[in-house]
Amino acid sequence: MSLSNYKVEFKKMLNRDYFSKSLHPFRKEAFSQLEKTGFPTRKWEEWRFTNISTISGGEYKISEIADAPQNPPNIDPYKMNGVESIVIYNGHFQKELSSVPDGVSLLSGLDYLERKNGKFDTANNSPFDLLNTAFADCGMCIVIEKDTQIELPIRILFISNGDRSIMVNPRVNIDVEESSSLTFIEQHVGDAVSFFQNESVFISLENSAQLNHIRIQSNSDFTQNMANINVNQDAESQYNFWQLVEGSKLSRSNICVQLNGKNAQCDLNSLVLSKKNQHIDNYIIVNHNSPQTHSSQFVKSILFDNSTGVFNGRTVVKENAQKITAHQTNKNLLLSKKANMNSNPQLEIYADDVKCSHGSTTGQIDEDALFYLQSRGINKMDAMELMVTGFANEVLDKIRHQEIKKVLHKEFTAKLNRLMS
Amino acid sequence: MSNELIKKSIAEDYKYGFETDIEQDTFPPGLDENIIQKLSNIKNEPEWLLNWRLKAYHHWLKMTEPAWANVKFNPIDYQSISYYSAPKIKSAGSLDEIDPEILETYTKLGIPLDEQKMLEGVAVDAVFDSVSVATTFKDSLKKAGVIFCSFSEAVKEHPELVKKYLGSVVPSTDNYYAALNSAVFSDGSFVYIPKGVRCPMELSTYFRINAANTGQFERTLIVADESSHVSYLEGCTAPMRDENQLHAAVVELVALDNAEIKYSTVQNWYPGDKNGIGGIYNFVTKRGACRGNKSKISWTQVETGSSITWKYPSCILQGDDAVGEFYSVALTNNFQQADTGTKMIHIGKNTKSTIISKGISAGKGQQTYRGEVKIMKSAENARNYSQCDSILIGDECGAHTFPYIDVRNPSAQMEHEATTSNIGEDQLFYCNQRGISTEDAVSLIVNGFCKEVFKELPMEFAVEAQKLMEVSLEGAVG
Repeated sequence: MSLSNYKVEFKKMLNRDYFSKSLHPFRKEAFSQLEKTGFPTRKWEEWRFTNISTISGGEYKISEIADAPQNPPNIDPYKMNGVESIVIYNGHFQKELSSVPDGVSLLSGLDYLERKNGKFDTANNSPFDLLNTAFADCGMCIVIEKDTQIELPIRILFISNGDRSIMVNPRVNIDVEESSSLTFIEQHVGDAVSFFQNESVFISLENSAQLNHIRIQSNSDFTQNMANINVNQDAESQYNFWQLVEGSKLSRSNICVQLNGKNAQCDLNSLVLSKKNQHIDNYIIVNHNSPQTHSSQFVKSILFDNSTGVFNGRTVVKENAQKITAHQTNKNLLLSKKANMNSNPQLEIYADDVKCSHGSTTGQIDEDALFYLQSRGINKMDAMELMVTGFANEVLDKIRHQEIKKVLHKEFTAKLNRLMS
Repeated sequence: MSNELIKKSIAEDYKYGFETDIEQDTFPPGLDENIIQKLSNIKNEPEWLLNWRLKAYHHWLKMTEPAWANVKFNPIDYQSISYYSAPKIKSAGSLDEIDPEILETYTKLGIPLDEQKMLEGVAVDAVFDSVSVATTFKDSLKKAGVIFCSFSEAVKEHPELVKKYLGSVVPSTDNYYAALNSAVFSDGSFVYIPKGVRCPMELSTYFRINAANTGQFERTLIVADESSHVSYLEGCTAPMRDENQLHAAVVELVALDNAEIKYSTVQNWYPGDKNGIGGIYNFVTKRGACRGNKSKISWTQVETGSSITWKYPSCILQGDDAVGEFYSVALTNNFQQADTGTKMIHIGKNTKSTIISKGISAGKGQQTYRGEVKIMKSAENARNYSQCDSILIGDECGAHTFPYIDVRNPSAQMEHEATTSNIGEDQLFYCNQRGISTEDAVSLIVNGFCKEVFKELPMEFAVEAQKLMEVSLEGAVG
């Protein structure tokens, strides 16, 4: 696979004067590594079920000043009460629309690098992490100092609009220091006609830190989305991830969690609502590197029309990592004859004192249950909707923030309503 | 089973590890067209079969060894293996003409070939290195119309059947080891059950590797014609040696309308010693095609031997209402490795499949369940239930589960479950408290864990399997 388009864009990138030159060595290193590996193909075991030729063969250009909005964009449709928002429009930070709660430090990429003593976070879980490092053009470094509880959730609103084929590589670093907590929301919206977003998120949770991470992907059905989420957890820390994917043409979430300290816990939930020709892939790896760590993966997909879905969950228990509990659940509802689902729950266990399990089911709406509801005077469409809602609620109810839970419940029901009528 | 018996079997270690000292005809090591030609000549094979072998060989040369399995082993030098080894005195069917040493070998293995001494109702085809030395109860089977003979005999006597079905389930180009087998397979068993016949007895093949530096490449082909039924057993042992020996077999099953095939394996190749030296590489391709409507294929396997087991007995459910089943117990102790599982491909309407896999890892054993359930667009109302459980004994072993589930029809109902855990301290304590020693408690719990699979085995095998578990678990607790 040639990277010709990306090579040209990378040259352009390096000539940009508003990006700090001191990050160039990292970019160059990442790009040369990417040149070696190339983009994944379906021959790679991890990419067997997802074809990314629209990205590898795409002609996406880096976002220019001209792609930024002339006037402040209207964010009223995405209003969410009780949260502080940071707005990024086609990769451009909208300062006048953004604010963060007290106690939160937002650092520039350079300041963050200094804070880390020049150590630059990279991950090699997928070539898209490398692509992001090479092209990182926007994003945020959020640091929560020791013993700080941030009540107000922070949201980054990513808006993608316009009809030019652009790519954006947001990079988000979140450091939650000892005994602190934060709720972080990322929301992806917009009406772009052709757009490729390759987002990398690096999360580091120190001892006893807690992060609720909510990700809502509802941008247009013409976008390609890669989300690379890398999480490192120290002892007693807790990471709660909740995701809704319903936008995009192609979407893949590469989620990799490292549980490095005793009693570190992660709870990963994902709800997928796909239609038309959408392809939505959840690729999750949880590494239990330390004894007494706990993980749970819970992914549900609802598939309409020709849409296709992939669940790939991998739990690895390292040698000597005893006293582990790990669970994976994947449930899929196929609502069309042409929908297609691949489910690969995997366990790789090198220790013996563990309790690990996985379960996977795929099927359509239970005819008996449908008949039961109909026999009680509920018409077929309503009955079906009721059942699909019930199926989704199990995931929706896991959102750990009351306000947001309410908003998402409402939004989800409206979307489902539109699809089912 | 009494505790004395368990203790006795434990003390015996691997009791099939002896070597039979007889004169053998063995090819020099190495593989090329001449070897295949020579092999084909010895067997007086027709032209078409030789060509089939050569085609497979040429294809094999172009292939590379697969590396995706979760097993580690030193590269195999295919030129240092001898591809044919047979006892000097040729068997001709009658028991009197078989080398007494060989008869002795089988008696020692608990498989007397003398029909009077045999278990009622089990016909045996005994394969010794590269050739079949005897097939028992041939006459009574003939009366029922059942063909049960060695593969070489089938090629001579029933070429039309062999030609029709050979390679129809596992093509000669299917995978690396299947291609190698197609090029050099030496013998094996052939079974044909005619229309409407229920095979009057259990059929069985007993494989024995004896010669050193040889590979065993046998091929089994079972065809069950319309509305027929057959139950088939397979057992295997080998001497204890320090080098690894390759066993690359192919098993093909064909079930036509309303036919049923039950295939059971108790695999007890030499697993290597406590330090992981020696043992058999068991790289086998097993596949069954449920061609007909309402046909059924059921695989049951108990895998306790081999240093490396790498196989996936599979079912292709082509006919409507076809049923595929897979019951497996795999045990890895010491340095044994196993990457095993199944594939269920649903093509026909209302097809059903069940997968029950139980893995036990002890010592430094590594075990992987790898399976695929594929429900094609045409498979309306397909149903699958899979359950894969693993038990870990000791903190240096591993158990891994890699299922692939691919659903392309919404009417499918697909369930997969897996658990991995160790034997609970509370369970052991409960047994200890009632005067059962820890070692006995472990085998009690393991046998209970495997019960679901053992109950699928024919009677005699079920007893043997239980006994095997005890022996193989020896030293795992302590």
